[in-house]
Order: sequence, then structure tokens, then C-alpha cells
Amino acid sequence: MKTNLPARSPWQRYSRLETSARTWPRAMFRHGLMNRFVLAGLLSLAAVTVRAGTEQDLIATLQSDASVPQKCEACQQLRLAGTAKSVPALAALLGEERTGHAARYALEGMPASEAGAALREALGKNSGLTKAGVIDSLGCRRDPEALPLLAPLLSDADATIAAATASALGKIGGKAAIAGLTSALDQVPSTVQVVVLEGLLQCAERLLSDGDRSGAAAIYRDLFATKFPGQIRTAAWRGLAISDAGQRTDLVVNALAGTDRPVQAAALKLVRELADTQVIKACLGQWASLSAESQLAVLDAHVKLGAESLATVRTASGSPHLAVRVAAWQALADLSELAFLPALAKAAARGEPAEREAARGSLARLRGPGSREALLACLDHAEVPEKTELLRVLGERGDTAAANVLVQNAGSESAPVRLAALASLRRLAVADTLAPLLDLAAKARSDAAFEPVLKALYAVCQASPDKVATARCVVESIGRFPVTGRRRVLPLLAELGTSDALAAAQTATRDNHPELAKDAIRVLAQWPNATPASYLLELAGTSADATMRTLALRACIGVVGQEPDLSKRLAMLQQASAAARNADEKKQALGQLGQVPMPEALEVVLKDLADRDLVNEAAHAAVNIAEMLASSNPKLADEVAVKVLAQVKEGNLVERARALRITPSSAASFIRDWVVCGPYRRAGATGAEGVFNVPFGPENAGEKVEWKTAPRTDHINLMDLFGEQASCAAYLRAQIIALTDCSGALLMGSDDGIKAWLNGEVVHSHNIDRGEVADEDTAPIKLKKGTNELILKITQGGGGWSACARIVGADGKPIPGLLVQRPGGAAAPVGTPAS
Amino acid sequence: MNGVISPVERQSEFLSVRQRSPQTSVTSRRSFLKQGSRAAAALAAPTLIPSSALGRGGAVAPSERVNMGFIGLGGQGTGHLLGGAWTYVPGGYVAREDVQVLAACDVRRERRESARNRCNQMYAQKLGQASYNGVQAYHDFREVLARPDIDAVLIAVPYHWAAPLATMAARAGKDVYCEKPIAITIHEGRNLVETCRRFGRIYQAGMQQRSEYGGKFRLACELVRNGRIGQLKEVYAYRQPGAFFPSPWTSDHAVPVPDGFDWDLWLGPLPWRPYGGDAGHALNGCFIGDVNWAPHHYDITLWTVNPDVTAPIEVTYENQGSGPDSAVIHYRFSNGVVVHSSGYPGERVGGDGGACFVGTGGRIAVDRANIVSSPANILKQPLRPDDSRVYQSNSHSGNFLECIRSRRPTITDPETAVYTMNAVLIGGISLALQRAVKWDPVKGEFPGDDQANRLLSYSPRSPWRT
Repeated sequence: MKTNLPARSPWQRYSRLETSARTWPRAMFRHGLMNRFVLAGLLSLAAVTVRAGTEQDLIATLQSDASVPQKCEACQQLRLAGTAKSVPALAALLGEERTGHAARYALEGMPASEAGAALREALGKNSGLTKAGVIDSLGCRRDPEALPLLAPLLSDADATIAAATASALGKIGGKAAIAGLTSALDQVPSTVQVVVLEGLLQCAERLLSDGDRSGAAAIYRDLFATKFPGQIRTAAWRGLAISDAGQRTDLVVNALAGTDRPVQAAALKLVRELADTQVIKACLGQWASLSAESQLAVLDAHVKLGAESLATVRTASGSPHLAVRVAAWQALADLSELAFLPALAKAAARGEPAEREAARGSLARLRGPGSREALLACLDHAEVPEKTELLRVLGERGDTAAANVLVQNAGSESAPVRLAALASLRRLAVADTLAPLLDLAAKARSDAAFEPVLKALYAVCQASPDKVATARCVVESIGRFPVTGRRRVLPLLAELGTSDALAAAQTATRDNHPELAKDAIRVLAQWPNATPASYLLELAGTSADATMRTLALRACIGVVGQEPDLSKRLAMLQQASAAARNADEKKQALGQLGQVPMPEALEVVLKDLADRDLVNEAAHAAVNIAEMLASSNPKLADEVAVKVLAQVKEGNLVERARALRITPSSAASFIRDWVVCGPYRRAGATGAEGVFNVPFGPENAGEKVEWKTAPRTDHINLMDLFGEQASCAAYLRAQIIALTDCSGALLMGSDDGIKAWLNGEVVHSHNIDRGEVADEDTAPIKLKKGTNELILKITQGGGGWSACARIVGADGKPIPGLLVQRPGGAAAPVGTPAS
Repeated sequence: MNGVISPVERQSEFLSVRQRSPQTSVTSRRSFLKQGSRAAAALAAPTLIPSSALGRGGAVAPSERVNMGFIGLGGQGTGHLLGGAWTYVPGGYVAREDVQVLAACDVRRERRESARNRCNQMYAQKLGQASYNGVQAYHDFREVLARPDIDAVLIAVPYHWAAPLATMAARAGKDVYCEKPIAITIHEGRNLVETCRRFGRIYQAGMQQRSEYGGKFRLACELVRNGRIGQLKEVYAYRQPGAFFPSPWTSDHAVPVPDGFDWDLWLGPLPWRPYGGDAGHALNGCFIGDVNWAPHHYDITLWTVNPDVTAPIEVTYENQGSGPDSAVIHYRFSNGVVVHSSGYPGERVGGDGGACFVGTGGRIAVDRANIVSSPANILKQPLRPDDSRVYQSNSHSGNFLECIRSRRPTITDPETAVYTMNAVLIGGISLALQRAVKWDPVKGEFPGDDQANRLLSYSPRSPWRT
């Protein structure tokens, strides 16, 4: 009989998938979205379509001579939509292992009482695994009507059926289930007994959640017998401590102090979960004898209750166990008890590293009214180590109101105190501290003393909301500094970048002190915009000092790169180039010209191609510009490439210039006939870049490599083949057959890095973490007549993982007669990723 | 590729926490000072110190080492065991002083034997005992769980095995680290939580983004929770949720089972079918949407949204024209936050395990490589001392091992992990049904929605059961 299901052969699924995949945007590959899960989604889409079939159609399928998969699929649809009407047809299938599984899947989820009845009826008709499955389904339905039928099965000779029954009774619960399980406990083999015990644990939980504490406790008490397996006893102990409030304290205290490790572990967990005041109080009575783990658990539990735990925290802070002290210091952050401040400061200053860190964290996080005042009061009486910690904490707390106190301490004779105060001032970066910090800077007598002050000053300038006023203050104070001091504070002017700051810096270039003047030029070179460029150019032309002229010209060329108006930038660079007195200066100008994406800039740099001293820099600049213009003006880019290739014969620049000349024809198809191997990884080699130079399988002579056939597609998505991977590499291999010896280019795109071998020789190597863009990399290649062996190594850092490659002639067009074939003997299908 | 944002774009609008490449290799005095200032700001966040193995750092007595078994030795499991970037344990667990590996288990003979040999070699070298043979290979995980000397297991298995195996391990009295997807049905997750609670087990889900990647996700979470983007309104999770929704249920396509591979045990609770060559993370067609990668995105999302875990969640299905594969799922939480399974338009950060959080005062996007904000100054202001903080862990495996000793809850304990997984699964059920659903997390069901409730569980193949 013909099935009513729409026929969907595997081939049809596949072809449908192919169609969809072809139309998906490449972005999905780049972002790793096109993976097995999407494939799974596509396949399941087919099922959603089928679901439109009526229940009667599905029943007809079950009753037809349809294949097992088709009948199972009908069962699956009935799981979603089946009613009592479907039950007879489903029940008829329960006796067969494969369709029976699918049928009970449908029946198990069906609310109709007929489904339960059918499953119960099936109990008597089946045996072995099929019967065990039916029992499982009755358990999942928590069918109380099944209890009388199930209870006798606890003693079934088939242990699988007995175990399934015990599990089902545990799920159904109730007095009858408990009675059945209890009576079977000593009658069943040990493999079944553990399931019976678990069933009883479940029954006890049900009693507990229904409010029958004593009933639950009675079961737990029985199960806590020494004859049962350790995990059962542990679970029973836990249940008993929860259900029997009267015994709980003794149970927990004894467990924590005892030697029964599994029960002690359960107690450590439970004491935190319950946070029971009585239990905590009793444990505190035994505090000194408790292990580190137990003290920690009691502390955790008590802290959950809030302020009432302060005494416990105080005790814990004196524990001989480091972990307990650390936890105590951490707990104080949220308890906000200011009386602990001196102790915290002492722990931060003098404790072991872990408790110092914890105490510092709590000092920084301490909240509540009066906390700042208490910190400052504590500071007044603190010794140097504690004072240092407290000053540091004031900065970490972001407490700008404490800036005055920090300023006072920033002048301390004690180096640790001074440094801590300055570090906090740097962190706070309060505008009001500018003047006192400048005073401190003026008084600093050494680089070591000056450096932390300058860092604080720099932070203040950087954070200043009023750069003009700040700059004015800095400029006015500069005069007070000796020459060495002025040289140190000059970089502040570049950070502020105002007109006053610029004027001051320019004035400094004319200072009588030559080193100060040179420093001023260096500061102008770091200006945040191109404003000083004209002045520097003028200085380069007028200064009497040769070093000053050189510095000024270089500073000008550097800073003019910040000019956003390309025409102005170009004009200024042309002037700078004209002012250059030697090849080095001209090279620097060419470097900057290479960043100007304008045809006019190209004209300028191409003039220097003929200059033997400048040819390399000019060529670099020209290729740079051409690459930036290539998409909008490919003809110009090609012309530039021709000119560069006429002058430069080797190196990476040649490759880049050749790439500019290649315009891949749409007729040039990607290589689709690959075999693949991998993924390979090595411990300690992380990220795409980390594995790039690690030789794996195909790179190691003599190593056996299992090549597998990859699907024919332009873009090989390795994540589809190997699943989600990270820090590994895979290899692609294909054979290129040329009719004659010929030259061409191998165009590649990869996610992440790529290395290419042609006939055993490395022809391309690009170690990078990136997404795939077709033809992004180019390698000139020479093919020999006959078969050429091409291997690509594709690295994977994480996320997407893919590659594509094609070969074109020098004109970007396909090489006539070029063939690609898979290497022979590769038959194993791809798609057996790691478990 | 980890980053999806070009350096140029990164500099144009946003501040990236990852240091930008300097334009010149010469460090000027100005840039030096600037770095000093930035470094100081970065230290502003207090560091919480974990219990640090209760003072047992450094040399660990054999009796205090955690005895572990490793179940599932594919890429992820082997990475955990022997070391790999994605496991965040240099040298793997076998190199740790506080761990003793006892068992290597996989249904593929080559994998388990290779892992066993490698571990034994490493211990032989370390201990100077050439004939060391303390690590045993197992093909059936039940033998590992039956060993009383094993304290904990690391489970990295196909999706359909994650919850059943973790649950069985907990029932056997083992502490558990389990890789995603944690559970493939709502009922599996519920059972996992109940079992871990019942047997008092420590459980860590492999949602390591809470601990790893330089704390970027924690920073995003704390900034959002502390109102740095104003009131949180929307989250873009960049990833479709998913659910177990097999199509087909079974198949007759068969190829020879590879030598040394126990296909029946690999299949376990799934409907039987002959080996078809596709025994990877999952069988093709078993799932709709994404159940394995999405949990990373939704875990970070929910950590940050911080919803009332007892409140209902409304899930809506937006058809984008070509069925579930392109549909967008929207979640509305009781605090008014809406989570979208799509990406934030124009924002490229977030696709790698992350999310984009949009509030009334700005937005933050985060993934494994980047954290960006708009306006940029959101990230320039460090967290204040009085800002609230979340659970801090800087090592996911370290957190697991510390909690085994202290019995404190892990950063992704069963309740946390299953809440996240449930969000993924209910979204997946919406995808499967192609319509809206409403979820009651307390009852663990879709109230009044018989059809959706039928997808809360599936029937494992006997003798496997949840």
C-alpha cells in the first residue's frame, strides 16, 4: 500500500539542502553560522512541513506497509498532535523494538487516558527491553493505575525489567509504591537494589514536598543504614537532616566533626543551603575543633544571614586557616562594619598575600554612611604600612572628596606613603589637585621623585573638563621650574593641545637652552592635531642649528599626518619634501605621502621612482596609495603596478604590485575538488597564530595521513566538516593538471591563516587571525606540465573556519586547459567530528 | 577567526578593551604616561580571592588530590585531559598537581587507548617510574562510575548523552564537570538538578565564559547590572536557540561500523538506527536550531538580565520568510527585558559567544575577543567600590576543583546551567512549533499548551532512562 506521507528520499533532502546553502550569504560562513546546527534546522524544517498531514493520514501510515523510518516519523508527528483516535494504531506497534520505541514516545506524551491504558495493556504482551521501555513510559506518565501491575514486576527474573519497575515506582510515588519498594529491598539483586533505593529516595522527596516530614524522615532513617552504598547513605543523611528538624543540629555537628568523608562533604554543602541559626550556633560551639572546610562552610552560612554574623566573622578572621581568614576579610565588604577598619588595614598591610588582597578588596568596597570619615580617622593613627594601604584604598574607592588628604600625604617624607598618595591622586585625577601637584613637581629633586608626580599631573590634564584653564595653569607654572623640570613637564602641553599650550611649546623651541628647545620640538611632534606643522616647517627652514632643522622637519612630517584635509596634507608634505636636505628626510616624507589616498599624491611619489636612493620608499608609497584607490580606480592602480614592477624586482612589494594587476575573471572558478585532513593540534600551541608554524601530518615526512573527501563547493567550510574547534589546523589537498609549463597566480581567502605548498615548495604563508574574503591573498606560482600537487594549511583560532582558492593567469583569466582533480584513493566521507 | 571587527572600525566609534596596535613601535614619553594612567584605571576593580584550595596550594598530598575519570575523549574531552586552548588548563588536567587521572573512557578504542597511553607516559615521566600504569582505559562509562576511588568525572560526550551521563555520575556519588549542551530536554535538566541536589554533588557546566576570556563577560554583566547603560531594555543574543526535535526519528542508511567503535553505546538512549557514518557531536537532523553554541550566548545574556527565575517567560516566533532556519525568537522576561535571537543591527561584536545589551543610556556588546560600548566612555569608567558584583571565577576548571574541596556551589551550578539551558530549549520548542509559547519555570511547563508540553521530554531507548 502506498504511504500517505510525502515521499522524501535522502537524496531529496540533500538536494534541498544544497539549494538553500547555495543561496545563503557568505557572511554566514564568515561568522561561523553555517554549521551543523543550521543543517539540522534545515532537515527538521522538512518535518514541520510534513506535520500538516492529518491524524488520519498518520494512522494510515502506521497501518500500512511503509518502512520503519516512515512509520517512526508518523509516530513522531502523533507525539505532537495525536489524540485517542491514534492510540489503537500506536499500541499495535508496541511489540516491535524500533517502531515500538517510536510508538511509546507518542503514547507517553499523550494526555488521553487511552494512551495510559494501552501502555498498561502492553505490559502483559511484551518482554525484555520492549517491556522495560513500556514500564519506563508508565513511570514517566506517573500512572497510579499501573501500580498494581508494576509491583509484582519488582521480582521479575529479568533484572532490566525489575530495575525499570523500581525506577517507575519511584517516579509514581505514594504509599503503595513505597511499600512495594521497601518489601523488595532485600529480595532483589544488587544491580536492582540500587535502583530500588533511589526509588525510595524519590518517594521520600515527594512526601517531604507534600508536607509529610515524619514519613520522609522514616524512609531516610532506614536508608542511612551502613549496609547500603555510600552515595545512598549520603543522600539519606541529607534528606534526614532536612526533614527531621529535631535531629538536624546533632546530625550536622556530628557530620562536620566526624570522619565519614562522604557525609561530611554532604554536611558542608547542606549547612550553606540551610543557613539554619541553630545549626550555626552549635557549630560555633565547636569552632576550634572544626576543619578548615567546616569553618568555611559555617562562616559562609552565617554571612548569608547578614549583620548577626559579625562575631563569627571576627572569630574567623583569627582562624589558623588561611582560606577562612580570606573569606572573613571578604565578608566584611558587604557587612560594612566600620569597627573592623583597623583590622582590615592591618590585614591588607601585613597579612599573607591572599588575605592582603581580600582585605584590600573589602576596604575598597566597604559601604555605608560614615565609611569615608572612618577611613580618614583610621589614617590619622595608622603606622606607615597601614597608612599606605589606606591611602591606596582612597584612590580605589574613587572618593574625590579625599583628594585633600591625599595631597597632604603626597609630600610625605615616607616614600611608600608618598607613592601611595600620588598613585591615588593619579587615579582620582581631580582638577583641583593640579596646582598642588605642580608645586610638588617644582620641588622634586630627582627623576624618581618627579615621575609619580608627573603621572598624576598627566592624569589630571587628561581628565580635565576645561583644557583651556588647565593649560593656562600649566603654562603659568612652567616658569617656576628649573630647566630640567621644564623639560619634564613639556609633554603635558601636547596632551592639553590648546592654543596657549601650543604657544608655550613653540616659545620653548626658541629657548636658549638647546636641549629644552629640542625637547619642545619633540613635544610638537606629538601634538594631537596638525596645527604645529606650519611652524615646524618654518623652523626647519630658518633654524641656525642643523640638528634643530632636522628635528623640526621630521616633527613636521610626522604631525602633518594628522591633518584631516587630504589636499592640505598633501600640500604640506610636498613643501616638507621640498625642504628635505637629504635622502632620509625625503624617505620619511614619502612614507607619509603613502598614506594619502589621492591620485595627486601618486603623481608626487612616482616622480621619485627613478631616484635610485628613493626607489624602494617611493614604490612602497605608490603601492600603498594604489591599493587604497584600486576599488574606485582599478585602471590607475594597474598603471602604478606596471611602473613599480618596472623598477622593483623582488620582495613582498612585487607580490603586492602583481596583485594589483590581477582582476580575477568571473570565469575563473574556485578549486572544488579537495580532500581534507585534520583537525590537528598540539598542547600549548594556542590560537590560529600559535599553531601556524607547528608541522602536522602532511608536513611531516612519512607520517600517515588520512585524507577524506570534502564536499564539492567553492568555499570549504571546515567547521561544517570538523565541528566547532579552536587552536588547530586542517589541510586541503588538490591536484592541478597543466597542459604545459606556465605561470599564474594562486588567489586565496582563508579564515584564519593560510600556508600553501605547490609541489612541496612553500609558495605562500600568511599567519593571521581573520575572516574569509575570497582572493585576499595572492601568490605567484609556476605550474609544470602534468600533475601539480597543491596543499593548503588552514589554521583555526576559534569561530569560523573556512577557505577558498583559485588559479588564474597573469591576466586574471582562467589558464586554458587547466584541470583540477581529487588525489586518488580518498574515499572516506568527511563528517566524523570529535565526540 | 575570533574578532569580527576590523581595527579601523574598532577605533572609529568604540573603545575596545583589547589594546590597539600602536602605529609606531617607539613608545613615546606621552604614550608611556598614557599607558600608566590606563593601567591604573584597570586596577580599580577589586579582585575577589577564592578559597585557594583551602591553603593547599603548591605541593598536594596524594590523599588530597581529586581522583578523576574522563568520559568522552573527542576534541573537547582530550583537550581537557591533555591540554588545549579551549580547555583553559595549561597542560590539561593530567598536568595539574591537585588532580590524579585514573580513567580514560571512550566508545572509540583508538581514542581511549591513545589518551590512556599519553597519560601514563606523562605520569611515568613525572614520577620517574617507567612502568607507570595507573591510568586505565574503559569503553563503558559504567565501569568508570562503579570505581569507588574516583571522586569526579569530566564528561564531554555527544549531546544526547550529556544529561543522562551527568545524572548517572551524580547518582554514583561523583562530582561532575559536564560539557554543553547540559540537557537536550526540559525534563532531563530538571532531573539533573534534582539528582545533584539529592546526592549532594558538585556540578560545573562547561559554560566557561563566566570564568574565562579575561573577565570580559563578567565586566559586561556587572556594568549592565549597575546601570551603566541605563535601564536594560533589550539583549541581542546573536544565536538561534534550539531543541531536540529529531527528523527523521530513525533511518535505514547503513555503512560498516568502524573497527573498535561501540556504535550501540554511542547511540545509547537515542532511537536505534544502523551506523550511518555521522556519529559526531550529534546525529544530523536530531535538533532544530542550536543547542550547543547557543547556551554560551544565553548564559551570558541571562547572567546579565538577572531575571526573576520564578517568573514566566513569553517566547514569540518571528517568521523571516523561510521557516525556522531563519526565524527570530524573542523572549520577554518579567522585568520587561526582551531578548532577541538575532544580532544587533550593524554591531559585529557579540557573535562569538556573546551578546549586545541595549539600555536607555547606551549599549555594550561583548564576545570572546572584544567588549565595546556606545558611547565609548561607558567602558572608560571602572566599576565603583559600591557597585554590586557577581560571582567571580577566573578559572572555570579551577573553580570546579576548589568547589569539590570546599563544597561551595560552582559558578555554573546545576540550577544556573539548567535555567540557561531551559531558555534555549523553550526557544527551540517555539522554533519547532513555529509559534509563540509561554513558559512557567516554577511548574516547568507551558501552561495550557498541550502541544508544547509534549516536547518537554522524549522517551529514551530502553534500558536507558532519565
